[in-house]
Amino acid sequence: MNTTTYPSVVRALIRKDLAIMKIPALCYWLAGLGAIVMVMTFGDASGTVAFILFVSALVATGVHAAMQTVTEERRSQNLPFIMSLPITIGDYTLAKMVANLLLGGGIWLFLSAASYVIYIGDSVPHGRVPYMTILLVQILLAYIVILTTTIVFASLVAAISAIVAANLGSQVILWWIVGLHGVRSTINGPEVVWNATYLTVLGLQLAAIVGLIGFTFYAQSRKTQFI
Amino acid sequence: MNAIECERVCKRYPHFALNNVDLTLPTGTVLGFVGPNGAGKSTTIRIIMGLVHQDAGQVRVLGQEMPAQQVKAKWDVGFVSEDMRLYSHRTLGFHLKFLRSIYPAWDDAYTRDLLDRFELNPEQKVKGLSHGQRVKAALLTVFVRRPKLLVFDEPTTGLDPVARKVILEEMMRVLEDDQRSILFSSHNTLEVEQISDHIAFINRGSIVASQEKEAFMDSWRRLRLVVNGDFKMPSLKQLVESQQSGRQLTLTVSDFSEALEQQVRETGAEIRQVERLTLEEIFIASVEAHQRAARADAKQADENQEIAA
Repeated sequence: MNTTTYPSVVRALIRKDLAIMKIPALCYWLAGLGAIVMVMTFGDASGTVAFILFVSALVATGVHAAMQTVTEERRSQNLPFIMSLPITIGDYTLAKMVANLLLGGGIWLFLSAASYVIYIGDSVPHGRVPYMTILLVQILLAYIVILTTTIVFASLVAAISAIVAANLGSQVILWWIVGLHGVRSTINGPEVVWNATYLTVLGLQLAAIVGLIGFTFYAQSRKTQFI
Repeated sequence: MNAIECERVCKRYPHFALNNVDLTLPTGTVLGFVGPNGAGKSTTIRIIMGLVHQDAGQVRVLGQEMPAQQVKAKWDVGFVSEDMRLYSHRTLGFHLKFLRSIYPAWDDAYTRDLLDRFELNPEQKVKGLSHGQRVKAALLTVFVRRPKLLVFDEPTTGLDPVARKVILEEMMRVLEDDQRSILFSSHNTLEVEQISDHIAFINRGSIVASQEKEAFMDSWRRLRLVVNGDFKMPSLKQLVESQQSGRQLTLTVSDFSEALEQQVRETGAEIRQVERLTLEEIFIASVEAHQRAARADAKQADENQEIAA
């Protein structure tokens, strides 16, 4: 595969995907903001509703972006138009990865930061902060699983399967983590404790994220048929 | 330099194979690439565009090896295929703005000129365009880049004859501006005959014929003969097809020459008429001859296998 890089073309592809996702992404950002405002205004009373809205905004942005910019592009037969441009499969993959990480990862970062601000100044025990971090990274990991599957397999069935597997899998993993001794013993404490259990889980999650992104580029580079 | 050179290109799928395809498009010419559905036209074109990688063989586009140097080659290649769609919920202007951000030598005046010529409104969403307008829009997104090589994979499929004529005329008018090389794939022989300098026929993954159009068409004849009851058909290597009805015998031949005509006369047959063939007739005769030869080869192979067993 040709590796000649033309940053301007990759940038144009990223801008194009961001433009296509502009309105849906704005709606999800507003929903996320709504969740934050709800917690800040009504406190714990709105906790469950705000959390559902918060997670929904995160998941919806990621899933919608991946489905719209990858699966829908293939289904709508836009891919020959894109691939006839002076790009390689690697350039295409890079553009998709960056555009989606800006969309899904952007809102994840914003809402994660907002969660810390709210939780740290709240009556919630600070011992929950490490678990909340793991929960947030798990949401990012689930999103990367969906994104990788969508880009590599480029099929609606694979994307839907990844969404189901990532969501159910995350719940099982989070339930398992909360039962670990190192987590159970500190989660309701007044202080933030980053023990070996938390750090190991977090390390594994980050390694999985990096590994999945690397796998996406590797799998794409092995393809000999792209349309 | 040739714009496209394919040498012994092979691609194997479970139910289809491209076999040792040799194809050349001299710079500044139009190559009509004709074949029935499923013959391998799109696979060949996708290999030329670097969208599918060949299993074996060499492909050079504008002097660049494909797929290895596809980025360099594709800067100067415009591609439109029958299954290519623009973003339906976006305007034509969105697509032009996107392309403008990629191609540094973008010419706004030329873009406006093409929009006028194609009677397209850049503010209109693609989903609101008719099929003919969508084809024009796709062609426009290619022409505005002024590529040295244009690769068209059945771009006019699904258009009514009037829309097809209009688009072909517009296309040729635009192409008069510069000397460009064009690979034009179609199963519509009439439009290929209108615009091509060279012709290549493909059938079942193999190139059946590839030649300069006028010489190629000039080499084919249909001979209408009246023969006697004791007429014996001579062995002619140029004979592609023969049909007899009573004393009327029709021979379709390739590599026609006066010597061949004389050879037929010497059999005692009376030549009533010698006709030129249309490209469609040549195409059908070539494909049928290729299929007969393939069936004969397969039968021979089976027989050899039985003998060996």
